[in-house]
Amino acid sequence: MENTRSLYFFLFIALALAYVSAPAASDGSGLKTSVGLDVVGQAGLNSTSGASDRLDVREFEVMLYAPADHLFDGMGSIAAHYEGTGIPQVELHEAYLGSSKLIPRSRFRAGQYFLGIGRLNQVHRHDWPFISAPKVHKEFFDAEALLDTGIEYSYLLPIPHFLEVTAGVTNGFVYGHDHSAGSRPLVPTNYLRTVTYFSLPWDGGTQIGLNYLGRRGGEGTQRTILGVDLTAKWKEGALLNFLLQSEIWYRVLTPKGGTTQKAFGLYLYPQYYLGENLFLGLRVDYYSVLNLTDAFGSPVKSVELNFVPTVTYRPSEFSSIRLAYNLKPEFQGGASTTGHHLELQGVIVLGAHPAHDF
Amino acid sequence: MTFSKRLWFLALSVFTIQAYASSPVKVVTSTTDLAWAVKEIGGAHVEVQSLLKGTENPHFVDAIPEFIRLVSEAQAVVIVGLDLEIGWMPKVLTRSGNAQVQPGGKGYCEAGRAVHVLEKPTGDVDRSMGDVHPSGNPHFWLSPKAFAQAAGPIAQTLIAVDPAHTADYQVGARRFTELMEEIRKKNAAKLHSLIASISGPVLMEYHKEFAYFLETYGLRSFGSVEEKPGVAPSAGRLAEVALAAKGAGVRFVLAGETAPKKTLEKFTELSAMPVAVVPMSVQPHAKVKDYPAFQEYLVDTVAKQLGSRTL
Repeated sequence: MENTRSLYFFLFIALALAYVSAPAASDGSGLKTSVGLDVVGQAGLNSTSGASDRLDVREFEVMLYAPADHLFDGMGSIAAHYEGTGIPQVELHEAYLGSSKLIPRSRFRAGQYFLGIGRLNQVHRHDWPFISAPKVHKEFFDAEALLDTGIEYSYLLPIPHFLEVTAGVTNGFVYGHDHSAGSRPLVPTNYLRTVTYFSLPWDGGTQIGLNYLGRRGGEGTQRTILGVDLTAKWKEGALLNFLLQSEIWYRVLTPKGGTTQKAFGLYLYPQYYLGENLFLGLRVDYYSVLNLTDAFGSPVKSVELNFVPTVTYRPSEFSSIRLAYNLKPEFQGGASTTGHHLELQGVIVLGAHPAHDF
Repeated sequence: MTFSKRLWFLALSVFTIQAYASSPVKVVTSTTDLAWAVKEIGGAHVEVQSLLKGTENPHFVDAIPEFIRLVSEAQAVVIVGLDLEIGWMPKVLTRSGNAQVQPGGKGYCEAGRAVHVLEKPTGDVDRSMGDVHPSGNPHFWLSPKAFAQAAGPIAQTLIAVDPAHTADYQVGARRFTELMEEIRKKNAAKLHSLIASISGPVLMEYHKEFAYFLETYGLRSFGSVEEKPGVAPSAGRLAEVALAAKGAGVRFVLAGETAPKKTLEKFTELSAMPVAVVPMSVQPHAKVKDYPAFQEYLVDTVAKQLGSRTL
């Protein structure tokens, strides 16, 4: 009942905002509305696939953004999605004010937002080049992205090379996908990212980010995450001929009075343009708990892999259809399993679409 | 502070102010054509850098971090506008953290705002119609007549950021307008006799981007190979339009360098009609290194196509 009420509320708000933004677009306020629809289906091919075996609206997101005045900008997005309950959940994704005009070479935002770290965490899920999050992203952040309420500041260094530093602090009452109020952390979520860019031969370019995130939860667990993200592109006209995207992460989790867990994971995704609006990519995921032990304290091997060939049909920047096959071998101690499943995704973007980062 | 120290301090201050005042205005433009125009208008008072090289399709560019760095150091940013750079420039401007060059800032210039825009849709527009520009066709720099109209906004922006040289910028804008007219006259003379004897359409465009160029030189177009702008034509559309163009006596197809080569080859195969592929902007490191050379190249290409066929 509660969920149905929130769904109606969401639809009311979304339609009302879309209604008011239509004339607003021409009244000089610059208010823009964007709607993203992301439909995903999974079909298991064996008993260990872990697939949902259903087609779901993964996300229906309504986003509004505009300059508030000559100094500040505002942005808000709300989304409805199924989270395995069969009932759509409605949640606030982003709601923040910001400015890139107050302090030279700087920008900041305050409110709720997807934290400015890594690559996937900063891109809306319907704009990812593949369907589902790699294991390392799910484990360290979220199946979608890590969001929280706080303040983030970015500064572009005054040197003859692109080097931007971003630092942020968020409440940290919750971490990851959590609808509860959470509890006061001992140390709030804090993060730092440095990003740079290099030109590559044949009109290519690559962006490399170094990332740090820390938090000590109310229960005393210390979380430290370090990582590198890399995005390289070679474009010709409107076509992205070749994309290479990767993130490598390392996490140390130390529960109060407990044993420290160290985990490492990465994904690597090369994607090639085949022609006729078709792209072929292969994502390789690796995830391992480095110091897993059995009841006797002996080291236990723990490795999860995923090979995800993905075909994307993208007739324009506003729609795409994707098909992916997941081959997931897992090794835990002496045992091993291999899951197989297929994924299908359809994405459309209606209305305005904000300009993209590199 | 002793008198001599005060004197040194004063001399140093004057030197610093003088050095700053005489340093050229740093201008960043989105395209090479605008960079050339800003240099023509601003002369020695400006230092200009184009973000693009002239070989890209300016609709589809990423907000490359190096662009952000260049814009962060600019005193003025000049863009085409009319939604041409909408997919990337807003992000570049915002991430630069440079208030002066963002919309509303005195160093922000949309050159297209003063241009008499062609092909502005009158009814409802949606994406089912393809890549339609709601503000009208943004490719005005392909015509010297339309490009001349951009001189006003460029000069106004330079004056706003560097009022000390107002008179020079006004003179520069006037000279630029005159130069555009000279270029137009010179090139129009080359085409006049060739076009005069043709009663029907002269050419086809691959993509509807030559409207200003065609209007300026009186070239009649049969339409575009694309059925919907920005959407690759189907095999059926290619066959249909090839047959129709042939029947109408169209001489050739004019296409920009970023048009898909395979589609153009297929069209030639079906229609036996030549395709002339031309650069869409000044390319400082290639044969069309400045605007007069670029215009001449476009016009010579058309003249060659018309002259090589029996009229």
